[in-house]
Order: sequence, then structure tokens, then C-alpha cells
Amino acid sequence: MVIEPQFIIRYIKDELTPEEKELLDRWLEESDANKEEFGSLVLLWDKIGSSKKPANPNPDKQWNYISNRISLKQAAGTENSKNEFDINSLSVKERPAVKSADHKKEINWRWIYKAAAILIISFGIYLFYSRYLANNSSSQIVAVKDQVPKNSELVTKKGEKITLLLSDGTTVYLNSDSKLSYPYTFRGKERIVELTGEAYFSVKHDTSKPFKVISGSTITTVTGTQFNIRNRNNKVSIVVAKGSVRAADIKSEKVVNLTKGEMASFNSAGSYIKNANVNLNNYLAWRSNKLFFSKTPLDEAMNEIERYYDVNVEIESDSARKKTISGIFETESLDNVLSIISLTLDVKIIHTGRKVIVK
Amino acid sequence: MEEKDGKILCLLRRIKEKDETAFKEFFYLLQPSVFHFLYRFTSDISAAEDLTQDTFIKFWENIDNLDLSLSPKSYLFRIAKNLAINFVSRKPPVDLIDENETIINIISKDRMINFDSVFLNDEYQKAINTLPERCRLVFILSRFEGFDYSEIAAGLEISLQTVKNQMNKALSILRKKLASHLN
Repeated sequence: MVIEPQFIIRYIKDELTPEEKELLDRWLEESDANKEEFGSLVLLWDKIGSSKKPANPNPDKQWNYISNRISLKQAAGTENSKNEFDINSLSVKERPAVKSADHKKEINWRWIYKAAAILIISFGIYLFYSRYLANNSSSQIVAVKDQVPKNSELVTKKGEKITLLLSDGTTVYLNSDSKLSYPYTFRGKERIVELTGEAYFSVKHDTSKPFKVISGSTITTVTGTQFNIRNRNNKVSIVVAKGSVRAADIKSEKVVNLTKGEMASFNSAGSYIKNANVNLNNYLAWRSNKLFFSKTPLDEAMNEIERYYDVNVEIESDSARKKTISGIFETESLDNVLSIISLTLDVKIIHTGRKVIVK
Repeated sequence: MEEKDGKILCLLRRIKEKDETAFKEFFYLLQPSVFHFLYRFTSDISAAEDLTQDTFIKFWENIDNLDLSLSPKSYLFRIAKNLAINFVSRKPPVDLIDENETIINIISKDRMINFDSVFLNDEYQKAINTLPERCRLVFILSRFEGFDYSEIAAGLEISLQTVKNQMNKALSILRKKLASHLN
């Protein structure tokens, strides 16, 4: 019996009828050569599928372009619409100038941004007051006595990310499997929050009230700036995206000043390594749903994958644990990521349901 | 998959009535797929980006000609295919082996992505590039876009038997080209 290669592919894609499947089974039983041929096609199919994928172009940007083009057409009237259309002779025509339409759109957008900003601000004020008043009216005596600000806690699960607007106007992007404690309102001379896990802060400028993030044994102090703090595996890394920060460790009493593009990593003993010129996009990759590794040991990378895809990973081989991996993964399926890792590091990875085992 | 197709059909009814929000949703749903198809076919990221936009614009412009009984996805990919073939035939064939280096540079500059050594040298894309045009289309739609054979036949306006023949051809060429990777 002879079976065509495409038949095997249809089997892989689960497109065969039950009768055809039976046929294939019989063919497989016929000889080892057949089994080998089957194996090599499955492998080919798999490997080609895990080959490099370029990042998707930004859909918002593309949509803006498209929506400009189509509304321009519509505005131009219907005189062109009579053209006979032949789908087989489409050609890429030069793009007509879209300047004027762009301009028009821009104004529209600005309007929308403004409206959105007003909405967000009013909502913020509403939230602020509703919480503030609720706190006050329900327990006035306590509120007077209790000068310590009441703290709230925000916890993200694996595979979940949350953006939070604090009462002072600071925005916090909280990564998966992380926790932020913050007061409903910032009283006193400092704005203090506490972080476990990873978050990106865009701090509202206020020189009279420094903003402090306590994470592990380090305290990061700023007045108004943007930075990322990552507290994982007993390591605290601070990367500055804008402005400057001062990071101090309580245990070692070591202090480091960082400006844009600089990073400091504190270990559990409180000593740090400063890195003067890091690629910010890599460290902020998580915010756009990307996974970034730079000579990251496999066990740490797998921790990250656990958080990102909400799975449990078990590494059975100790030699695999210390192999390192570098690169960036863009919103790919877990299986794609795993197959790339398994091919590059030459380890066997088995994925069933929510469980991943590295052999 | 089926649920998505149902959704697309719903959207199409609205798009036919020139509902731009429906078209927007349709675009967001299918943009990645169209882009990857075009990239696989042209091996040129910026061309694939431009052609993706052109595909959707053409789709909108010609929505009146769309027969709802036909697979809308096939229709969209038929437009993409025509644009891609047009692009490829206008452009002298590129030797990817020399081009690979620059492509990676462009990506890393444009998007500031750090392609370390993690990615395999993309022999696979190179091998796909060597396939004859029609063979390549059939293979890409089957492998990367999850089309089944009848959808490919409809999308490319060829017979089911031709799809099968082209797949056999693609697979045997790829197997030869990639023999050293498949041990």
C-alpha cells in the first residue's frame, strides 16, 4: 500500500474520516519504513510550525490608516464605485496622499482623548470621594484616632495584569502574580506603597511628598518619574524609564542613584550590581504581553512562563535547570514557546493540560 | 474555530451594510492571520505590513461583490494572495540567505527587539521560499493558517485534487531541503 505524504498531514490536522484513519493505521502496521516515514513527516510539520514568527504590526496603527483610507473613499463620493472589479487582477496602487485626512483624524482623536481624560479623572474623583466619604462617615471616631492611613491590597493572579490609578494620580501596572499594598489616600509627608512581584510605576510629580516603594528589603524613592521594579527569586531589580530614582537597601544600607536607562539589581544580602545602559524595551516587555529572557537560567524562565501562562512547571533534570535562554517571545502559544525552548536547549518538554514537565 | 467563523459571518452581514465598527472588529480578528500569511509568502516584513492594510482596504471596497455563501475567510485570503503574488512578481526574487542578516537588523532596529541566539537560523522559512508559487500558497495556508483542503481549494480557486498534488509536492521538496534538520 502506498500513502501520499499529504494524507499524513491531513491526519496530523485531524481531517481524516474514520475510514481513512483505519487505512492509515493499517499502512503504519505494514512496515518500519512506513513508521519512519510517518515520523519524519510529523517532525517536519512540527519544526516548520515552530519557526520564527515576526511580531504582528501594531493593529491600532494599521486600523487608523485603513479607517482613514476608507472614510476618504466614502467622502470622495461614489463616482469610483462603478468601476468593474476583477478580484484576480488586483494590484497594489500607489497610496494617494492621506495628509488631509490624517489631519482631520488627528483633531478627532485629540477630542476623544480629551473626553476620555475627563471621564477618567471624574471617575477617579468619584472613586476617591466615595471611598473617602465611606470611610469617614461609617467610622468617624476611628478615622480621627487612627492617623495611620488605611491600606488596601491589590493582588494579581497568574496570567492576569492590572492597571491601577492611585489617589495621587500615580499609575501602577501590576504584573501577574504580584501584590501591591497602598493607602486609599496618601497622608503624611510621604507616599508609601509596598510591592511583591513586579510592577511598572508612573509616579505623579510632587516634590513635597516623595513616593516610596518598599520591595523586599529595598526602598526606592522618587518624586516623579517612571520605573519598573521586579522582585522575584529574592532579587530586586529596578529599571528607570524616565527621570531618576534613589534605591536603598535596609539591610546593607547601600544606596544607589539611577537615571533613565539604568538598572540596579539587589541580591538577598542587599548588595547590588548597577547596569548603566540597558535596553528598556526588554525590561518593559511584559507590559505589552511579551516574555523577555537574557541569559536567564531555565528554572527562572520557567517561573516566568508559569506566571504568564498559568501552568505548573516541573524540572526533573538538574543539568537542564542551569541552561540559559535568551530572546523575546511575542504573544505566542505556550506550545510554540516550549518547542522553541526544547529545540534550542535540547531538552525534552512534555505539556499536558496545566502541567509542564522538563526532562 | 467554528465559533470564530460564526462570529465572522455575523460581522460580515453588518460590514455589507457599511458598518465600520463591525469592520474594525473583523480587522482585529483577522489581522494577525493575514499578516503572517503575507509574511510567509513574501518573506518581507514591511511589505507584509503594507499588504495587510491593502488587503483589508480592498476587502472593504469590494464588499458589495462578496457572496455570503462563500467562505469569507477564503475571500479575504484570495485578496491577500493576489496582492502578494503581485508584489512578489514585481520584485526580483530575493536570496534570503544574504537577506537574512539585514532582516534581523531591521527588526531589531524598528522594534528594539533583541534577537539573541535563541532563534534558530530560519532554514525553514528559506526552504518554504524555494517552493514554487502555488505550492507555497497551498502549504502556507495549510500549515500556518489552519485552512482545511476544501477551504484552500475555494480560496485559491483550484480543485481539491490540485490541493492534494501541491501538498505532496511541497512536502517532498521540503523534506529533501530540510533532511539535515530532521534527524
